Amino acid sequence: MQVSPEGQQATQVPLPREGGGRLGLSRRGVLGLAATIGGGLALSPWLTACSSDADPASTAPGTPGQAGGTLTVGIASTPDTLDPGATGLALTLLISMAVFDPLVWWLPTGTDGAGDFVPGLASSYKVSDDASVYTFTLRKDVVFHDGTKFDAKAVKATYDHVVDPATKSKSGLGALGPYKQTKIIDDYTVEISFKEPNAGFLHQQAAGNFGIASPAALEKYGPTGFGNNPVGSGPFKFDSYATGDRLTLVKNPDYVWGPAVLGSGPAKLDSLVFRIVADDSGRYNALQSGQLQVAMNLPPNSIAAAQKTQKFTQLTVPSIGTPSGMPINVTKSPTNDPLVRQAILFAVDQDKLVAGVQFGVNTAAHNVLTPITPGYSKPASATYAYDPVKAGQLLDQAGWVMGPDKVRAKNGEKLELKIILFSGGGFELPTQFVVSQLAAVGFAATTTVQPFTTAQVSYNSGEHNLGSFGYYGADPYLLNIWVNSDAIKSGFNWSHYDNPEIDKTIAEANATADEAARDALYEKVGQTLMTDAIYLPLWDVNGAFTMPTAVQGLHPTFNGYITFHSASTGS
Amino acid sequence: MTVPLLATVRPTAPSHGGFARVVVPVVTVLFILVLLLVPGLLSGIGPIDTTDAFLSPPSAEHWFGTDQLGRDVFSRTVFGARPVLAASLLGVVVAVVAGVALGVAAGVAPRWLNAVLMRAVDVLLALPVLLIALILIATAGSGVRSIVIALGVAFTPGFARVVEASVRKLRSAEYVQAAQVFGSTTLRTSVRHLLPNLMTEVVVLASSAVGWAVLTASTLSFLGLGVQLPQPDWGSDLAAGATSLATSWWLSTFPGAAITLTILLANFTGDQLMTLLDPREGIRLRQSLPRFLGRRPARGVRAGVPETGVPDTERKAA
Amino acid sequence: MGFVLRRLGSAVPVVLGITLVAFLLIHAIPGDPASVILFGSNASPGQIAALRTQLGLDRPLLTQYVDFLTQLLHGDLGTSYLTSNSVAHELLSRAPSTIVLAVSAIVVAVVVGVPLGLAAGARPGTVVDQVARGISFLGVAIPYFFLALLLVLLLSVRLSWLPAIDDGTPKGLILPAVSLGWGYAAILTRLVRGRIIEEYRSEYVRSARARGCGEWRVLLGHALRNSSIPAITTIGLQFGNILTGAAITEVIFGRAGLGSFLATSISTKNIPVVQGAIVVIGIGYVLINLAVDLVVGAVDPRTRLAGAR
Repeated sequence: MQVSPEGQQATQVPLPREGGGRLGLSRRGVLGLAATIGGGLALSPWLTACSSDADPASTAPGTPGQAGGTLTVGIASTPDTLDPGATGLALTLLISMAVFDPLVWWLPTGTDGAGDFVPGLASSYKVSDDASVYTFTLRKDVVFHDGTKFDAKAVKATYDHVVDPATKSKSGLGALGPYKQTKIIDDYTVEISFKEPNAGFLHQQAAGNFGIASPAALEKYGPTGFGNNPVGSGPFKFDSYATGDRLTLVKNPDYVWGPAVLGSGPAKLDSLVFRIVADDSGRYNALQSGQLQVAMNLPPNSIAAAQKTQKFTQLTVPSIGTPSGMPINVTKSPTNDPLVRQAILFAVDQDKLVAGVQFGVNTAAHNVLTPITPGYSKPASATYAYDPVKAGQLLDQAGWVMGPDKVRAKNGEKLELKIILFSGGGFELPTQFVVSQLAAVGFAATTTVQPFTTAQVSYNSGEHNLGSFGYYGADPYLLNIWVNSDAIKSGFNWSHYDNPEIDKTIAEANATADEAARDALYEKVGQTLMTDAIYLPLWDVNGAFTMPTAVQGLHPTFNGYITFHSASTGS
Repeated sequence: MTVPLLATVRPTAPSHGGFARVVVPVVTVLFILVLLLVPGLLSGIGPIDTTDAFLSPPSAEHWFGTDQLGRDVFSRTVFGARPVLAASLLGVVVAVVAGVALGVAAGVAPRWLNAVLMRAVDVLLALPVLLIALILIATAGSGVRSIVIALGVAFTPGFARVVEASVRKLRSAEYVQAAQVFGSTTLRTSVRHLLPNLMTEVVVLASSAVGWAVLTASTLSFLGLGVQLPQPDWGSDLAAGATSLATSWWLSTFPGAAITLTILLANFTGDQLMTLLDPREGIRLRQSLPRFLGRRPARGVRAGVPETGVPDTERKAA
Repeated sequence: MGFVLRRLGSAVPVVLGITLVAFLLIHAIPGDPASVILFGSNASPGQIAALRTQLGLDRPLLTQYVDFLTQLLHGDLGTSYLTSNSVAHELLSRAPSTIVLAVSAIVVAVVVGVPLGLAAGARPGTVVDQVARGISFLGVAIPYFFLALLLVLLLSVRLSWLPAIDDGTPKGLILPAVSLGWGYAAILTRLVRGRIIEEYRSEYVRSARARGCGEWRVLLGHALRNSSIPAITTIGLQFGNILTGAAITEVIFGRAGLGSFLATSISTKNIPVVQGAIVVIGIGYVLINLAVDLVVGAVDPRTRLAGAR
C-alpha cells in the first residue's frame, strides 16, 4: 500500500526529543533532476514497495540471505563527485548512503510505511523549542573506514565542510539553509544551530547530503579532493572509481552501528559495484545477460517486458516530491488565461497515458505533490477529472472558437501552444500523447527538445507555454523552490507564477512546528496551485529498480532510493 | 575532420545487367523525389494520427505495425524520409556551393590569401562533426537546418580543396600556355576549357558524398538532433524503438531498413554516375581523390603511372 | 626533413584557428554556466554573479580568449566546471576507451576486409566475388548504430554468446568493434578487390607469368604493397569518422568514453571541457594527418622525392 500521507506521526521513537516537527527539505541538483525524472515508475499493481511485509525484495532483517558475492547495480548517470556534502546530483546519494551514515535516519518503516526517526550515529537528539538549535548525543563505538575514531569533531568537520566555499557545495549548501555553526559541547555531544528556525533540519540531514565524513580524510584530501576519496563510516568502504565507468565499494567488516530496520551488522555482500550505463537499452540488455544484478530506472516498456518474463522483481520506491509534469507559463498567451489553463488540465487523461504509453508501470499524478508527501491534499487531486467536454466548454467561454481545421481561433489568432522540453527527461513520448489529447479539443502545438542549459534559458525567459519538470525531495517545503516568485528570473519557477500570498503561506508552513497544522497549510497551498492551474501533473516520481528474483534485502527510503545494508545476491 | 567516405573504387569489372544499371538509378531518383515532395501518395494514414492500438505488430491494416502511441509505422517510415533526405541533399548542395566558392576564391587569389584560405579549410577539416553538431543544436536548436549546417561544415573542405587545386592547375597551365604562345590565351577560353572538367569532378564527388551524407544525417537524428516532435524521422524513430527491439521489433527495424536501402541505392546511383562521367579508367578521380580526402599534395597512387601534367603548384604554396 | 618541417610549419596557423573556433563555438551556446553550477543550491542572484566573476565569465571575450591561449601554451587545459577536476584528467581518463574501440574497429576492418577483397579480386565474376561484393555493398550501407543494436539483440540477449555491455575484457570489445568496423571492412574489400583486378592485368604480373614465377606471389606482393598506400590513406583520414563512430557506439555498449561525456558537457555548457576537447581532438587530427603523410612517404619513395622538389 502506498504510504499514507497522514501517517507521519513518529511512532515508537527510541530517542527522547522535545518539540521539533518534521519539516525538512532536501534539494536536488538540477542535473540529478534531469537524470532521475526519466523512467519514473509507480507502484505496479502486484508489487508494493514501502511496506516491509508486502515487498518481496525488502525482506525483514534477519531473513537469511546468501552471504558474500558482488552486487552490480546499473545506474544511468555519472556522479559529479562522491562527496555527498558537495554533490549537485541526486544519484550520488544512492551511493553515499552506502558509504556514509547520517546522525539520524528517517525511514518509511513505521506502520503503513509511515516515517520513523531512527538513531544513526547519534543515539539521541534534542531540538530547541524554536527549532533553531539541535543537540545530538553521539555513539561512542563508531570508527571511520580509515581508522579514525568518530566523535563530535567529525560532525563539526562535516558540517563546516559543506558551508566552506572551497568545497563548492551545491545541493548540500542549499539544503542546510540558515546554518550558523556547530559547537562541540564535549567529545560525544554536539550542537548544531541555525540563524533562523529550521524545523526541517532533521529531514534534511537524513536525506543523504550530510553523511558524516572522516575529519582526517577531509584534512588529508582537501575540500575538493575528498570527492575523489570519500571516507565515511557506512557498511561499505570506497575502493575505486574508474571515471564514468564503474565505482567499486567493499564491505566494511567492522560495521555494527547500523539501524536494526536496515540490517544492523556488517553488510552481507562482499562488494557493491555501481556500473554507469547511460543507455537505456544497454542497461536492460546487461540485466538480461546477467552483467547487472540491479538495473535502475529502466524505461516503462523494458520494465513491462521484464515483468512478463517472470524472472525479475520490480522494486518501485515512491518519492516525496513534485510529480513529473508540465509547468504552465501563466504570463504567455494563450496560457495567461486561467480558463485556457484549466481546459488543458481537463483535456489530458493521465490515467490513459500511464496505462497505455507507460504500460501501467507508473502511477498517474493529479496534484502538485506526490501522495506520500506530507501535506498532500487528496481533494485537490480531484479538481480535474478527465473531461474533454468541459475543456471545450471552458475554451468556448474564453472566446476560442473551433475552426474548420480543428484548431480553435480568436480574433484571427490560432490557439497554439509552444512546448519546450529538456532532453533526457523521458518526456518525449508522453508529450506527444499530451499533444494529441490537446488536439482533440482544438489546441495546436509545436514541441521543441533542447539541451538542459538552453532549456533553462528558455524557461527563465518565458518562451514556453508548457515545459517539463519533476522534483524529488524530502519535505513539502520543496514547493518553495518552484512556486516562489523569487525563482522566476533564475530558478525553477518555470510557471512564472507570482503570488506573494502563496509565498507567505509556504514560509509560514515551514515555520510551523505542529505537524497537523503544517499539513493543513500545505494542503491549502496545493489546492490553490491546482485551482490556478499552474502545473499539468502527469506521473508520480519514483525510483525504479529491476532485479532478478534472487536479489534480496533492499530497503526503500523516502526519496526514491534504496539502501544496501542487508542486500544479498542469493546466487 | 569528417571526411565523406566515397566509394573509393569504381566498379572495375564489366558489370552485366546494363539495363539495371540505368533503371535502378532512375527509379531511385524518382522515388526520392516522391518521398520528398508528395509522401502522401504512398500512405493514406497520417503519420502523427494516434490510435488506441498501441504497439500492434504488422498486420493487414497497419503494414508495418503501430508504435507506442498507436501511430502507423508504415506511414511514419514514408513521411520520415523527408527530414533525412532533405538534410542530406541540402547538406551536399551547401557543401558544393560553399566549397566551389571557397576553392575558386583561393585558386585565383594571390599566394598569401590562398595560404590563409587553405589554412581555414584545414581548420574546418580538423573539427569533429559530432561536437559541432551538438553545439549547433544547443545554440540553434534541433532540426533539418542544424543538420544541414553540420553536414556543410563537414563536406565543404573536401570540395574546396579539389576545386582550388583544379583552378590553380588552370592558372599555371595558362601561364605555361601564355609563355609558349605569343598571343595570350584569354582567361575566358581557359575557363571554358576547365569548367566542364571541374564540374565533372565536382558532380562525381558530390554523388558519392550523398550516401555518406545520408548516413551522417541519420546518425545525427538517431542522437536526437533532428527531432521535431511529433513529426516522424528515421533516425529518431529508430532510437525510440531501440529499447523495445526484442518485443516490438518493427519500431526500429523498418526505419533502419529504410536508411540502409537509401544509402545502398544512393551509392549505387553514385557509382553509375561516376562510370558515366568518367569513362577513362578513373585516373582523374584518383588524382583528385586524395586531395578531396584531405591529403596534401595529390599524388598519383596508381603504380606504374607517372604523374603527368600536374605541376606541383601546391608544394610551392605550402 | 624539409618536408616535415614545412608541414609542421603550416600546422601552426591551423592549430591556432582550431583554438579560436573552439572558443567561439562553446561561448555561442546560450546559458550561464554559473547558474548551472549553482542550480539546486538555492543561490541568490548575487551569489551567481559572484561565481561568474570568479570564473572570469564577465570579462570581454577577447580577454577570455587570450587567457585561454596562454593557459594552453602552458599545457593547462583548465578545470571542469562540474567536477573541479582538471580537464586533462577528465579527457585522459575517458579517451583510452574510445581510442581502443576505434583501433579495434580498424583491426576488424583490416582482418575482415583485406582477405575478403583478396578472395573476391582473385576470382572476379564468380560466386565468391558476388557474395563478397554484396556483403561489402551492404556493409557500407547499414548504419553502424543499427547494426550494433541488432548484434546485441541476437548475440548477447538471445544467444548469450557475448556480453551486452563492456565488462573490461577483450570479449566485451568484440561486438562494438565489429559493429563499427564492418562498414570500413566493406570499403577495404572494394579497394583491395579493385587493386587485385588491376594488378592482375598489369605489366608486373604478366611478365611474371611469362617468366614462370608464381603469379600469386607476385600478385600478392605487388598488389598488397600498392594498395597499402590508398588503404592507409583512407583509414588515416577516416580516423576522425571512426572516432566519432566509436563515441556513439560506446554509448550503446556502456563503455565509459568521450562520447556521452562530451555530450553532457555541451548540454551543461562546461566551457573548459568542451574547449579543451575540441582543441585536443583538432591537434590530434593534425598530428594523424602528418603521420599518415610520413608513413606514405616512407612506403612510397616517389612521394618523398616529389615532396622534395
